[in-house]
Amino acid sequence: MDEDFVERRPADREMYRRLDAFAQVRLTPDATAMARIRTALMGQALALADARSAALTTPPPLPVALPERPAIAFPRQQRRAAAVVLAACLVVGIGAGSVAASQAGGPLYGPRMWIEAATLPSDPMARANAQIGRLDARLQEVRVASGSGNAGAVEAALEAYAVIMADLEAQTFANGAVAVAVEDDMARRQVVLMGLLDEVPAQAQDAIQHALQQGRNAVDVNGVDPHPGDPRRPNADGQGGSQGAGGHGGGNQGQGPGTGQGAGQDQGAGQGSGPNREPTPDRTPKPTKPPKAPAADPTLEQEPAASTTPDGDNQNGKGGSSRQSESGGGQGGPAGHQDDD
Amino acid sequence: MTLDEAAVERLVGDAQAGDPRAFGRLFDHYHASVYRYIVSRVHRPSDAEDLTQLVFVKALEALPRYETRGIPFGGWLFRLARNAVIDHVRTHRDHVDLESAIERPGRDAGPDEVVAVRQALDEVAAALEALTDEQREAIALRFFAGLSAREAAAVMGKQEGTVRGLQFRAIAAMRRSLGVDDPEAIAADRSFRPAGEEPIGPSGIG
Repeated sequence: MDEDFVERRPADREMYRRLDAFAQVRLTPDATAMARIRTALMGQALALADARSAALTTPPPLPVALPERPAIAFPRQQRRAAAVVLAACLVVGIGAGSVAASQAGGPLYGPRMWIEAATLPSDPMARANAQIGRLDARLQEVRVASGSGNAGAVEAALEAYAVIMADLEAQTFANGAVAVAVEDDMARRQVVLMGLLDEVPAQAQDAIQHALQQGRNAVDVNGVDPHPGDPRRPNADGQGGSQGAGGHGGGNQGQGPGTGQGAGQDQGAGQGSGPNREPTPDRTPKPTKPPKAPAADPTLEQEPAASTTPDGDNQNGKGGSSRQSESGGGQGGPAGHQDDD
Repeated sequence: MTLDEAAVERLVGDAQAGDPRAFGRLFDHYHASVYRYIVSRVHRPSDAEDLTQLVFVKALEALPRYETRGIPFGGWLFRLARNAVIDHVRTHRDHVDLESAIERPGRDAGPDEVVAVRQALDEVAAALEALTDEQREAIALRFFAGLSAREAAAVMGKQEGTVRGLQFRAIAAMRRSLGVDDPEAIAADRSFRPAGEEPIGPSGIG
């Protein structure tokens, strides 16, 4: 502590305490906002570093014998002005080109995603918050690209979305505190993404299904119902089950529905390695726009069957199933999570 | 995140040499105190977030030209923050007082002790508003940003003794304003302390 703050009288001590409390309660920054600022800054720092290293590694131009200056030359001031204008045009052109190229679907989009990922904060909570911010950015890109009918851009943004969700899934699986902090945020993005199902071009339907599936996996790890109010509960491959995080119950050998692999084995017990919490379906926001079932999407058409398929037998018979499907297998313990198949 | 002065200077050197991670660690070290200083001056959290980002962007751009020259990096950074705040206040005359502007989540009625704490914090905010601009800045730099008197003096462009004097008079004025001179009032006002809050002294990087 600074020597100035060693109290000389109780009143001073009291004032310092009050000011400190005021700072802690009223002036503390929002962690999410700071994580976003950090991500943006790191991108800028990397770009600057790259530009500087490129400038350093560019070899100096070789001396060449210049021809004699022609007798009629532009005045020095004009040449200087022309050089400035040329340089400005060059900078603007490069800048505009770089911005365009780094948009979703552009040739620099991949490197941009890589830079974003490389500059995420190391603190798990800050990293998760930054990833949530990145999910928002990807959703915005999907909206913009869908609006302009650019299927390639939509696919690129959705692919990036799925990668981010996969990272969040790993984080939430490894860190219960992070899972608690971001579960609602993740579920909300899933709902937003479901709302975009009808908006994306037909060519990008596979990509959005993949992104949705990745999101479901991530939210499953978190123990949040990824399909609030959606009775269809799409399952892309019919393999029947997530790796239930944190159920106390025994394994549920559910007979997965669908035309794919069908009889998937839901190991749903999750003997304590995942976040072990109550399911929180009530806190998950309802989708503002329930997705229609596009005829071209066979996975969605299979879903009603999935919801009516009864759970399989309970092998261990101790805690009941960790699944809480519509068919009511849910005598799972307090950590039972909701399965999506 | 705690770093001593030597570690900060090493990070600054690395960042100047083009290491983005070093700049990231500097951000981690300073962002909370910079934000606290700014939000205590501009009052709106959204503005403070924008300005915090602006300060670090400026720092990133100006870092190659930064030289210690007796002013530690923290002082240099807060000078950027102070200039950003001055520019902001100059162009946003519509700012409102600290008491009413700071967004507080969950402001609906709660248990009695929560209400009491909130009221006590409101009183501190009002007492801060009653200070002169220089006194308020001294308090913001010393208590909210956690700068030493020397650093605060460097940021404000004043002598160290002047800053100590400003701080002394500010604390005295706040004591009077809050009735803290009365020992009985201090003893009676135990409801002020927020849950889990214990340390006494400047916040942040001190």
